[in-house]
Amino acid sequence: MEDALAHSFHALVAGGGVFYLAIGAVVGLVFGIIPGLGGPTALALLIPLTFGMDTTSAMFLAGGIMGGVPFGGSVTAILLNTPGTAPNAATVFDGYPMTLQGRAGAALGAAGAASAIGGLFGVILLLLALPIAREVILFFAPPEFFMLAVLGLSAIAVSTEGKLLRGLIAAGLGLMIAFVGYDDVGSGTRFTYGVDYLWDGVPLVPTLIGLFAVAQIVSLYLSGGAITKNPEEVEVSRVGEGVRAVFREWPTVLRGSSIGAAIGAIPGVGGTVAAFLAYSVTVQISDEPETFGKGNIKGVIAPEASNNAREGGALIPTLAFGIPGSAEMAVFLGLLVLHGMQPGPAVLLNHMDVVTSLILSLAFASVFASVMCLLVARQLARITLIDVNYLVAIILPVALVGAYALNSSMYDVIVAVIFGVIGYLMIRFDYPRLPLVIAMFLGSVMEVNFRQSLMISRGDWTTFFSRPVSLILFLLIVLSLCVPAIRYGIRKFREGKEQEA
Amino acid sequence: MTDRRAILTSLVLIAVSAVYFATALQYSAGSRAIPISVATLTILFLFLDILSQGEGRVARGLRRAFGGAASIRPGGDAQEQPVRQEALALAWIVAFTALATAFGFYIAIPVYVISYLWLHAGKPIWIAALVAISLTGALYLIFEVLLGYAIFEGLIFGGYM
Repeated sequence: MEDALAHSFHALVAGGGVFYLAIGAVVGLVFGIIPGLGGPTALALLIPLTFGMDTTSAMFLAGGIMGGVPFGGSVTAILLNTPGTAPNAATVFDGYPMTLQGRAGAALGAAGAASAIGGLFGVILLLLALPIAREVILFFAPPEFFMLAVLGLSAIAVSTEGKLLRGLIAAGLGLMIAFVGYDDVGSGTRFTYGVDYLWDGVPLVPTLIGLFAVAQIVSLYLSGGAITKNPEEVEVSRVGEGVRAVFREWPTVLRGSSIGAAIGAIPGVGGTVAAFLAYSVTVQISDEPETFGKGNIKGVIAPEASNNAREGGALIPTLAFGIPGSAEMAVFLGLLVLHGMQPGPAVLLNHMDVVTSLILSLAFASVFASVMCLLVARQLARITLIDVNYLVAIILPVALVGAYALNSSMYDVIVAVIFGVIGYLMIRFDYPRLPLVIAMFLGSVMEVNFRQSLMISRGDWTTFFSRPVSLILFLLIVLSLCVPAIRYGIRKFREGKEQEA
Repeated sequence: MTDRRAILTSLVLIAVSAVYFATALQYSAGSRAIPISVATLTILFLFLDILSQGEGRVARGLRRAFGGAASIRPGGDAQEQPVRQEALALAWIVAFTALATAFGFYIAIPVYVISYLWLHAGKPIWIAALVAISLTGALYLIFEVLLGYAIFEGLIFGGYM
């Protein structure tokens, strides 16, 4: 661990890591600021560019993006009442009222400092959790990995609030796509329908580019116009006041960071839940709850700290078990695959230098992105004055040239376009995209471990239920699938009680 | 999104899953076990999704069981858009892909950017041209010069798919 950290630190300082980190943070900020783009799109667009890089540099670039996006999203949330990414929605409640009171700079300062501290908190938690995770995964055999993959999928499907059936359908479709190509355990190819190109399966990176970048282009095309038309809305001053408030309100920062990191580590729960939970807990324990929603700076600090701490937490299941907790992490796994690493325990056991590079880059990116954004917040916010037609004109060629460049194949471009259409139709018809993407990652893991388990146990199905860890995971799957019904029952019970009262 | 559209979408997906299921039957027992299970479950969920539409007792019961999962919320995440607008958006993407396949990216990018910004977005042609040249130049620098990729030159100019 220490050697890996030293290697990564050397790569950061002497190996050009700072350069990639800075590029990543700037790109992350810009993509965070523009509503509708966000981290998955930024990562999907940049994956092809990392192909020629060494893995460590690619991790610095990815870490920069992941560190920059959350704060970028808060800029528009505070200045324009428009969250750049979904988790920034909680920042709107008090951030925008602060802007209306002429305290936009203070809100941005608070968001920046809270993001930086929250990001560092998440990274420290990740550093502490990784040695434990390395020990834990040694106890996992094929039955446990199978159950874990199913648990990851069910957790993601359940997390698609109010869309469990659609989430399960999307996961099913994703698994069906994952089984296309060579049979990992048996012999021959499956579901290729005579198309030689599909022998290696549906290519992951063009699929991600399609689902996130191309689908987003269609949404931008349809939305049209600029995000804001009034330059006066993006005025910023008195940033220092907000930064000082963060250090004064350190319990709020700590609470928000803890909630963000803990929630981030649970696959599928996501940053939006973490940010809203951090906000609501802060309101509930406050002595003056009536001031929230009217420009209380704690209402900006808590969700922003939570939002950045989440990244570190989300990397724990992603790196340790290969189970991405969010769309951003799913695309990040695509990056690992591109660099020859099979997501899951192997990364943690054999590529610790890569993991530490990512951790370092996340830590530095959180601070770097926040400092830089505070310096150029006003200029960055002006990005929202740009007509989205320019974005549509620019992003489509960048996305498709990137899809081509990976394997010098126009078929990859066609795959990206097909999945772009599928991605848009999923948005249009209310199917969550995340379960589909995660199922594509987990499909192979699930099937290989299922078949290996049966081979080892000589066809005995009880192997999945006779091992303690596997049984616990199975019970968690059942429990997770019951969550919506339980939640519904509790809601009805409460409503009944309220009516009685 | 109307109930009818939701049902139609589910029916299309059932058809796709059924074809997948039928294909899986041709493989050996080990190779088909998981794909068949997944296809079966997906078809089952799709039928449940269809049944959960509307306001009947079964539909309400299913929505309760799935925590309101199958309730139809008009438009979902996306706002209702005229189909013509959606078709146009997709047509631009398909047109760019076709152009790039035939003539290569270095011709397709300026043609697409200029025609999109000038004809569709109504920007002055000189701005559209400036964006087109800058973008093409930037992509050439990044991909060809810095990263060393050879970008597709188009089927007409001897490119290989």
